[in-house]
Amino acid sequence: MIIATCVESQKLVRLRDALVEPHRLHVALDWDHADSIMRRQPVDVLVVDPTFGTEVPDADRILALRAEFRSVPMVVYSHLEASTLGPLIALGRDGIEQLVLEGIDDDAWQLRRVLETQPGVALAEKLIALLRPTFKHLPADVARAIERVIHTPAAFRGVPDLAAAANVSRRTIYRECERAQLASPREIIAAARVLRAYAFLQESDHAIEEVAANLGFSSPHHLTKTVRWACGMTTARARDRIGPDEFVELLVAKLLPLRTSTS
Amino acid sequence: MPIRRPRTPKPSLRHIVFLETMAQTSATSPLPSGAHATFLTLRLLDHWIPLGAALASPDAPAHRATRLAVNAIAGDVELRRALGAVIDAIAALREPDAQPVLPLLRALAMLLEDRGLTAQAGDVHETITRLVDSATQPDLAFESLMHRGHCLRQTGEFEWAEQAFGNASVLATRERDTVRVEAARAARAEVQLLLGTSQATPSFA
Repeated sequence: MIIATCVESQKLVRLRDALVEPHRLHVALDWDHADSIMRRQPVDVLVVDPTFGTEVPDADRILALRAEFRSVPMVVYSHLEASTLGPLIALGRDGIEQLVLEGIDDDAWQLRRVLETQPGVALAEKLIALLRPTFKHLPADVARAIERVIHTPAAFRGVPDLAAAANVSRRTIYRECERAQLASPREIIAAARVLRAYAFLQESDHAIEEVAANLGFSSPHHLTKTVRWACGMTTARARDRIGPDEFVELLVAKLLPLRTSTS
Repeated sequence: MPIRRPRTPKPSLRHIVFLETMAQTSATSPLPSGAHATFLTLRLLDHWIPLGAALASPDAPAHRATRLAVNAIAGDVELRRALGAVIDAIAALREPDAQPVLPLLRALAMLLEDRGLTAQAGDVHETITRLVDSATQPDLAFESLMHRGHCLRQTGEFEWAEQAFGNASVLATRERDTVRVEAARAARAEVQLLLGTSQATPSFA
């Protein structure tokens, strides 16, 4: 799991205690640095603190970051006192559902469990684990870029972004995927988005319309079409009738079409 | 057929109404300590179910902090007892299972409702409807949905009140309890009239 943090030093110590290998932590020095990390690195979860870098707790920078990266699960890590109530209410009203209270919810094991159970984190890890044998047939940069898109799907608008992340041309990335008997880069991006959408719908109260917008789908209809491609059902049916493991298996079948048909 | 998962108008932080109460009231009033303790108790219950029994241990920071907050409620014995009973029940159970705790939560919701704290009571009823197993506790599930609907209607959230009454009606139909079906339909129709979306044509005959 890869976590980006914008928290005060005391909370950072707690986070470091909670996160052991193989989890990775990107520590932002300020809000602009956090923005830069989100743009350049794969990030599973973003942990933010309304008191970070300011004397008066403030929700504005967090809301700006959230508006930019809505597909990345966000956890607010704060203490509960009169000065933080305003920002916490603003963040809660904006749809942030995960709040970790300092001194209450930040026991190392509890903090780790909260981060590990964020929408999509476990599913992304699972999908990558199942695809990893195939990644051996890909150049390291391409494999890393595909891992990135599965971790942070909304950071990739299309195949050119994926090719740029892998430092290859668009044509080359198509060729490399074909050689590794992997689905096309376009389908890989679609699968990553649909997996995150499924996770959001399963694990939170988000409406389909909102999830579609957060993940960069042009409309809920587009999301439904992609989900239908992945599992043959509408978004709502997939949410209600397909379990997480089965959903990942269906995506693997789509992403490794030749291996599935020969096995 | 499963009942549709209730959705809030927009997803938000759970139990945010208690944070809003804390933010509105001055620090000297007794309400913030009550809202604070209720907020922490509901969060303890929410976290206990997925995170497991370790959270129920009296040594767990979350448990300790919640207990301290409940004991700090000054001059409100009823609320302190209601919240204390929820925490005691959590601590007494070896494995996380919300079902034995939910009747105690209902007592808390009714206490808040009796005091006219409609939004807060609605939040507690929502917690019950979210966690209750309607197959084993149909009475609790139905009553919580109805009370949640009433609280939402009182706070002006008619669409969501209609949904709550609709779900109550589905549940009562499944249980073949005609009296409850009619009660839920009547409550739903009242909200639909307020919304102006009633399908029924008034009869003037």
